[in-house]
Amino acid sequence: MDFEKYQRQISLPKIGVKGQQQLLDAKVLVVGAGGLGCPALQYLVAAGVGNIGIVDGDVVSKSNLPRQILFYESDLGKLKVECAKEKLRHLNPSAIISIFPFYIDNMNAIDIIQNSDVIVDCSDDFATRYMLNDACVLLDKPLVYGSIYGEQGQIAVFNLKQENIFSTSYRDIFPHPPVKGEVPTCEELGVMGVLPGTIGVLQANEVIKIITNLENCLANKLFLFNLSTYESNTFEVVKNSASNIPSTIVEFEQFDYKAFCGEAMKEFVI
Amino acid sequence: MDEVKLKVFGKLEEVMGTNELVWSVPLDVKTLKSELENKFPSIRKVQFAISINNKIVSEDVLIKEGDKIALLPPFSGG
Repeated sequence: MDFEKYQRQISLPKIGVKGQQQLLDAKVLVVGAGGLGCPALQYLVAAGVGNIGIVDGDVVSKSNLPRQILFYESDLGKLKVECAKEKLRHLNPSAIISIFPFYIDNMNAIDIIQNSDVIVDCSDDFATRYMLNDACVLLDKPLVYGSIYGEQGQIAVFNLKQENIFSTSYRDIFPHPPVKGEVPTCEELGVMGVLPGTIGVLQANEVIKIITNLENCLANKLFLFNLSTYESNTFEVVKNSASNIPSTIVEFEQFDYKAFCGEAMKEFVI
Repeated sequence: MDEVKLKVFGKLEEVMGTNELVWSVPLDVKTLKSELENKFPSIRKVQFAISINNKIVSEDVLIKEGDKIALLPPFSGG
């Protein structure tokens, strides 16, 4: 272990040598190398997380640069995962970084996810969010969720095993997806880079808490933060009988997430 | 009095034109939803979770005076 490098973290009584070793041994998968993924990746790699996977099929475009701070003008048109790996390699050469230069879906998710300890949802569409949630439940993996809207962000930890019980999942909060086009995207609504920057860093914080077994992580909770007013709210999440997760991997692979998140869901009303 | 406070988040803020409002105590969550839909018809098309006193409710429960209610739509941006 590089004691000089990690001295400030090791000095924290809650982390110590043991916690730092847990970080060095951890395998974290970050889905989406965008506004949330870039800061999450930087802080996780800097903190010493030993194995990082990055999944994203997109290339760097000019409109990414004000918030996706792993990318430079010279990266335009290149695969995000390759650019991210290159920057992160300089940040911490001892981290093992695996890249998946394609989009995650229910046909490849099981293979990509199964070797990781913690999954981080830095995606930007509902189909991926529901699919990742279900995959993590099926594979017993904790999922650190983050999402943004306008000046607001949401963070939660799903499916974390605590005393042999798994915490609530995304579907316990939102059992039914919105109708396509109901929730504007960042492209439609606009976003200031500091918002995903803040939320992505807080996702990294939750990952660190999970890996080092720190208390107060956002399991069974949904945290909301408003970057304009600095108001924050934490909501308790309980199991929801309307949550309907595929019960087997075969069912999961047959489930059409795009259709699920793309069609009118008028028959589902609370 | 007989009122409850509603906090409104995300897209619902735009749909309802406010992020906070005071509402006469409805009987339960189901009644609240239908009252809100009558006053703001366009929220019918929006999925959202409801919390009472910072606890997200997964079924119909009674609401009492002074309860703090939040309407929580999902966000997708990343």
